[in-house]
Amino acid sequence: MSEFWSAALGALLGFSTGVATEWWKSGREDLRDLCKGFCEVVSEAAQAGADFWLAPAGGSNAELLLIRVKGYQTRLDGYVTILDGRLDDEALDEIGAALAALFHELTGGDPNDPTRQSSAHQALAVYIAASEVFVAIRRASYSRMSFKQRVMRYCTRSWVNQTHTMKLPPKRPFERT
Amino acid sequence: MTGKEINIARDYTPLPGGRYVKYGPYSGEDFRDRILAPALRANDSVKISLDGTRTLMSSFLEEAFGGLIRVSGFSYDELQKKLTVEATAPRYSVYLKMIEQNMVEAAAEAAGKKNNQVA
Repeated sequence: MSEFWSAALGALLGFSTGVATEWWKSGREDLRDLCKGFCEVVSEAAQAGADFWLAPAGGSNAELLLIRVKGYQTRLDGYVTILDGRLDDEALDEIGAALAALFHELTGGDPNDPTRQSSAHQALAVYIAASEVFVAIRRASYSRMSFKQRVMRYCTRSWVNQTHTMKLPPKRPFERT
Repeated sequence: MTGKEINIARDYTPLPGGRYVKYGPYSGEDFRDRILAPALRANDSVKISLDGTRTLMSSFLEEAFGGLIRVSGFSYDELQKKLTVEATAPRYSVYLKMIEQNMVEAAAEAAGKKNNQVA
C-alpha cells in the first residue's frame, strides 16, 4: 500500500513539475513571439515613415503614405495593449518612452504641410528612433520578473481597464535658478 | 471650484488631424484655440480624456498641449494645477508620455526665452 502511495506521489510530483515547466516555457515562447511580431511592425512602420518623409508633399502618394504611417502607429498601439500586464513596469516604461520618440519622428513636425519638402534628415531620424524601440523590446523580451512576481501580477491584475493619468510633475528641473 | 471634462473623441473628433488649421480640419491648433484654452480659462480644473480617439498624431498633441504654453500664454504652474489628461485603455499610455514631454519641453523653451531676455 505504501509503495502505491509513494508511486502516486511521485507521479503527481512529476506531473506538477511537467505542467509548471510547460506553462513557463509556453509563456516565455509566447512573449518572444509577441516581441518578434512587435519588432517586425516597428520595422515596417519605420520603412513607411521613411518613405513618407522622403516623398515631398503634393506627390501622388504622399497622402496614402501618411495613412499607412497612421495605420502602423495604430498597430503599435495594439502591441502596447497586449504587452501591458505581461511585462514589468520598468520594461513597459522603457518601451513606452522609445515608442513616444518614434511617434514623434513619424508624425511630428508638419506632416500635413502642403509645401513640405522631402527630408532625408527626418527619414534618418525615424530609423534611429526605431532602433531605440528594438533595443527596448529586446531587453523586455527576457522578462525580468521573477516567477513569484509573475504569479502575483497574474493574480492581482485588474481585468478592467485601469485609468492612466498624466499630471505634470510639480518640480521644474529646466528652470535656471 | 469649477471643473470640466472633455473627451476628445466625443466632444471634438475621434480622428484628430495635424498641427495647423491651415493644413486641414481637426487640427491641434483648432482644438487648443476653440476648446482646450477656453475651458482652462473658464474653469479651475480641466480633465481631458483620450479614450475613443483612433490615431493621435504627434503634431496634433504638440500643438494642442505644448501650444498652451508656447502660444496661449499659460504658465507651467497653472497647467500643473488645472490640467489632467487621462485614458483607461493601455494603448494611450504612450500618448500620455508624449503630452507630458511636449509640455515640459514647451515650458523649458519658454523659460529659456525668458532667461535670455533677462540676460
